[in-house]
Amino acid sequence: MANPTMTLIASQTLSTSASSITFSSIPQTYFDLRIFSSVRETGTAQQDSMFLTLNSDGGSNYSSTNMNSAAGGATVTSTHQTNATFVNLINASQGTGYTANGFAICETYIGNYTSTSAKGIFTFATTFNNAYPNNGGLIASVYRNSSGITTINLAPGASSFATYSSFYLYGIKNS
Amino acid sequence: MATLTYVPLATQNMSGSSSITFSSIPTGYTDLRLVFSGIATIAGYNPLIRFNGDTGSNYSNTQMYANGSATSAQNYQNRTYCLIDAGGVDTSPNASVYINEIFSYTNSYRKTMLSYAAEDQNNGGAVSLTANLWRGTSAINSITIYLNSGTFSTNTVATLWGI
Repeated sequence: MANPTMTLIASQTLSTSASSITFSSIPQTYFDLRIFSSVRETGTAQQDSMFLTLNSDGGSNYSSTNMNSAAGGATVTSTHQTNATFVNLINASQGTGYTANGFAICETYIGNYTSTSAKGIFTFATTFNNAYPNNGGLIASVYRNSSGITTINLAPGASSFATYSSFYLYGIKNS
Repeated sequence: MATLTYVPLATQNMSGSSSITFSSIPTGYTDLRLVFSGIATIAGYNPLIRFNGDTGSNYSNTQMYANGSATSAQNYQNRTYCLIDAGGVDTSPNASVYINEIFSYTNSYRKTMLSYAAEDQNNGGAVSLTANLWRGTSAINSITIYLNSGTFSTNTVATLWGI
């Protein structure tokens, strides 16, 4: 019989606000990783970012290229992040400036996370607001490190994650 | 017990190859998911995909992409391959990820594939979404990924899942 190929490794749903969350001791027995999040901040931001750091590495080993629908999709822009100390997951968080009880959603796919080469990362993110504006983003990222990923840290772009923000980490097997 | 719906059909190490093929794909699934991530020996060449060895002008591509300074969309008709990215695979120390969803691959009509590509190059590169159409009426039984120049490098691996 085939083995399950998408397995929930860990999840966190916040019962109180938190400045960040961490998944640690990630097993090296999968091939790819998927992270799903549903996030709200305690601050007054409308659309905001979530910051991704891997293996507690604060070095300038990250970069990204994004496509960002701003002003509710009226314009689409793109920027690079070069030699950064984290990945800026644009539009993956939102604050009290948007609809009450609305949460931004985000999916991040990390390919070949145990590789001894750099890791490529793809992210979809969108904010939720029951009125104009509402924003989405696609982010291509690279983490330039030769170690397998054992720790994932996510932090809001400002203030703290609000209660009920949730995070799910899945391992994907390829055999 | 629940039925598994995300089944790995095959995995191939692409290191040192300019082309790989998944063949003898079983017909017992609804959709296919093809994911590969890694590095190339020459930067900037697009990884391309063909179905069932078809080299005819039976493909079309519609793409939106962003390259860090601009965003755009483009459309191509009567092509001989599926276009799945906008920036090309980069060399080390960067790495790219490609996620391809192939819908209703056994139907007798045209097949669609939605491709997501992450190709950041640390102050270069692109992110893209591409809709591909293959006007073949046979079930997809083989998928070829290839580069027009150079080869895939170390730690480049492709996996095909049945959904």
